[in-house]
Amino acid sequence: MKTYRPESELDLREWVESSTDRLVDERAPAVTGAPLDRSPTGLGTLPRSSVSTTHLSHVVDFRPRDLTITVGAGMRMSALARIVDEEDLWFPFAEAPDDRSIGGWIAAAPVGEFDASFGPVRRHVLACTLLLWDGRSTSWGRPVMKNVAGYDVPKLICGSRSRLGIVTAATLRLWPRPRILRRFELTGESLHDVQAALSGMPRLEAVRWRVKAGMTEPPSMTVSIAGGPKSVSARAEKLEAWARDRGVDIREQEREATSSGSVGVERPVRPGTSAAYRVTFGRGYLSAGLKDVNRRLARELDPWTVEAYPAIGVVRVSTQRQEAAGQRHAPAWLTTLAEAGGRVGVAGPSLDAPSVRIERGGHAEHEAARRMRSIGAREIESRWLAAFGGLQVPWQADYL
Amino acid sequence: MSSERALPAGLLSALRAVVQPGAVFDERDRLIAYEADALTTSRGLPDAAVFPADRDELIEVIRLLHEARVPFVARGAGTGLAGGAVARGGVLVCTTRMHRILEVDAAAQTALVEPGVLTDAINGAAEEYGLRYLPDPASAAACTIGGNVAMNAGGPHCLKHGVTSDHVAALEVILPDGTPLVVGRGADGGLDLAGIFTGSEGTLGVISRIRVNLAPVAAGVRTFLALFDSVADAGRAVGEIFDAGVVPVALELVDRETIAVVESSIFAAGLPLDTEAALVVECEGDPDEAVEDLEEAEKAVMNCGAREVRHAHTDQERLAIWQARKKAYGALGRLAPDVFVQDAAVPRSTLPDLLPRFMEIARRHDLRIANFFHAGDGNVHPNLLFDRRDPDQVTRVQDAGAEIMALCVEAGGTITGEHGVGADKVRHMGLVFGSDELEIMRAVREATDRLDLANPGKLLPEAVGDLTG
Ligand SMILES: Cc1cc2nc3c(=O)[nH]c(=O)nc-3n(C[C@H](O)[C@H](O)[C@@H](O)COP(=O)(O)OP(=O)(O)OC[C@H]3O[C@@H](n4cnc5c(N)ncnc54)[C@H](O)[C@@H]3O)c2cc1C
Ligand SMILES: Cc1cc2nc3c(=O)[nH]c(=O)nc-3n(C[C@H](O)[C@H](O)[C@H](O)COP(=O)(O)OP(=O)(O)OC[C@H]3O[C@@H](n4cnc5c(N)ncnc54)[C@H](O)[C@@H]3O)c2cc1C
Repeated sequence: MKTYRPESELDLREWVESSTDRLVDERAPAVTGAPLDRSPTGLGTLPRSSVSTTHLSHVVDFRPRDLTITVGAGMRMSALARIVDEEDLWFPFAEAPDDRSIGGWIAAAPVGEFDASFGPVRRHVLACTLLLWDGRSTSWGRPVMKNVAGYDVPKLICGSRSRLGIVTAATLRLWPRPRILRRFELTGESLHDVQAALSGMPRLEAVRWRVKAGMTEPPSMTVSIAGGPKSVSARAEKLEAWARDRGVDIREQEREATSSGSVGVERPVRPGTSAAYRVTFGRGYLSAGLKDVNRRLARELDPWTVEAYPAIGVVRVSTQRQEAAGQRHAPAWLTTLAEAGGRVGVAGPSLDAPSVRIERGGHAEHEAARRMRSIGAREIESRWLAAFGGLQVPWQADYL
Repeated sequence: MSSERALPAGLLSALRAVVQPGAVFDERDRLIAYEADALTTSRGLPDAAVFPADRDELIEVIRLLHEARVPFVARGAGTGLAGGAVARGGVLVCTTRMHRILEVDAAAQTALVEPGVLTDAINGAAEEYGLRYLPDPASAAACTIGGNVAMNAGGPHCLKHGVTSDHVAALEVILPDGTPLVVGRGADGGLDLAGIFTGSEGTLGVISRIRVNLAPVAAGVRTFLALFDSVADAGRAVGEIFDAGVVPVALELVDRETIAVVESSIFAAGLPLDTEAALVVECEGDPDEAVEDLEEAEKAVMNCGAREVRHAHTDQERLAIWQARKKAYGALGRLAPDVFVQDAAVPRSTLPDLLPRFMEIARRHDLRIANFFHAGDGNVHPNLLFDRRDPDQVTRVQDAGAEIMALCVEAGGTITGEHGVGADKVRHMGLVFGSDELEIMRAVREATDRLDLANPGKLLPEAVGDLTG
């Protein structure tokens, strides 16, 4: 597969216009923000060609006083974090090192640990330029914090995985850098019941819970506390006391990742070497599901990692191991998660994992959908894709 | 103006058969009550109004209207400021009888509600669980959650907490052909369909149920009012607060003209009448945190030349400050019979430059202007006061309004930050959208409404030729 790396939006536009024939049989050219030849997995058929936004990585307009920045889609998260940090601003999603592109981040709309306190991807995309698959360049949203003119198309673009078109540039919402931001790593058996653990802790700005299959190690949790110095140190003390009481190991992490400036460190990810599922439970309903997982984990040795974002009720199951990613079917206990009430999201490594697409239980948005008896959502989706001249690929399943 | 076209024979009795007794009427004297929303200059009469009591009745109603090819307009409380809930002929479908809170799920922190529930009523139900619904349009005591979702309403506290769309987990919409459709936010890998229905202003169907997110009530809330001798200084202070690393939950600006009206109303908060601008700043969090953040904000406003900072020491004092801000719109009635409400949103840093220019435009057109708005979000409401009975004033208001809007768009802004396009701003859509974008949005609408039945003529210009701009 050949990857084309246009130097400008204009080049990209020409390429899209000339590739209409490639779209006819629905083998869409793959879009990627990846610096290497990372193939988006899970496309029903392998694309014959792919295009990378990697050179569309310039700053278009940075307005620190407005808390906005407009960047090319190929800008890396790490680079963005460094640029905004210079103006004492903050983009809560960047981790270091982080070679994800802004375009890929928008298109995949991954969950993040700060979602509960700052809002998810869609709250942060104020405007973007979308190159349609017919070659037209369209522009949606405005570089302002509130905008209700017309339909809220940026929402549709977030998470659309290149089905509507290629994001070439985006205006993002930034935040003032918290005066103090401290991160702690907690490890211990008493973290198994994440909900119970959290109820004893102080208010946290971010929580990520993690356990590895095989259960060779106890679960761990990364938490962040942000704000003014007094409030942060009071809450940090409370957290430390909580950990001492429960025999939980607590370690403060060094400097906040986003300002460490570790640019250019790129994750070499080869095709098919990683896969992930997202399971949505809804806030308050994680514990039940995770208990089951813990039981199953003790028995299973799949090389999967389970991460939970309790504040938004989402679990992420992922692997970086080739043999697991290549599996045609989801790991057995992913089914357990679904049976425990979770709603399993995009199927990871392959499209044919129907066993995990169990739509039941859970009190997240889809619980509402279940009870209300949804009909036709796929139909509307397909009609709206048509309105954009988008790709009717039902699930361009890949990473979440 | 009522449309020339009468309703098809038999439609009224068919409607009466599917709803409760008395829930359909077509008498002109009763319909007049629904002639306008809160934008009183945009008027129209429907041929009939129908009040379904629940979702099943609503589905039947929409099916009948679709079969009869009769256009319809969804209406909540009619507090909209864009002329959106007004029908020129056709049938008004009112949701005010669909006002049940179906469930509060305290563990998941969500509530399932019918569209006619008043925004404040959600808070009433969530309160006993220590929860609240975060978006707070100033009209929350009167407007419906369905109207909020349809408009993607904002409010003073949306600065930190986000607007309506950020708090909608899922919704059900009755499509223009009567098909119910449930949509979520794309967590299953699909598109964020609920994100488009939110803010669709009734043009994609009638929202019949909504699952909203709730959040814990904050333990600490602190508020102050900062008084300034210049509007530009107050505008600068807004930026300075963010520079200090503080994101207040609310950051509102009120100008001299507004202070004068509020002070002469029952919501008087004791503000000096010679103040050019006042900023309401509110911080939230753990009790210590709110205090700490507010201290930083106070330093910032003092750096920008605030002449005085008044802290709310009690809940009562805090409420008084908020009443002064939230009732400002109603109080304007004392100054002039009519208000031309503006709602542009601009990049925040342009405020100190734009505010004096709004004043200048008003002066040039010999009009009075009152500003009170969501300064932290850059969502401005330069309100022009006039008397609609004087045609010359009407023309001047329209000219001044168009100038202000063009100025805001030129500064990178948008034509509406929270009130919506409705019938009022349709002709300005060309200022912020190109013809390709408009065509795509029309195609999105046509995907579910080939017959152009749901709130026709609102939000989207019919054809590109309709545009000024
Ligand atoms: C090793 C690894 C670890 C990860 N860890 C996490 C994690 O911890 N938490 C988490 O939530 N997510 C995680 N992800 C998922 C990742 O965050 C998202 O897939 C996304 O942000 C990747 O960005 P990218 O630039 O690498 O995009 P790619 O992987 O290149 O593309 C991702 C998707 O977006 C589309 N796309 C890319 N660029 C554009 C564009 N400009 N316009 C339109 N569509 C585009 C692609 O077609 C594809 O569908 C991980 C991914 C990998 C590979
Ligand atoms: C004093 C005052 C203060 C205000 N303050 C604010 C503020 O701070 N922030 C803000 O954003 N707005 C504010 N508004 C405007 C207004 O209150 C909001 O737009 C509100 O969301 C309208 O709700 P409603 O129930 O009155 O809707 P309506 O006015 O009845 O309808 C508004 C629009 O929504 C559509 N609609 C209503 N219900 C449905 C439904 N169930 N399904 C589909 N479409 C529907 C209608 O067709 C119409 O287009 C204020 C208004 C006033 C009068």
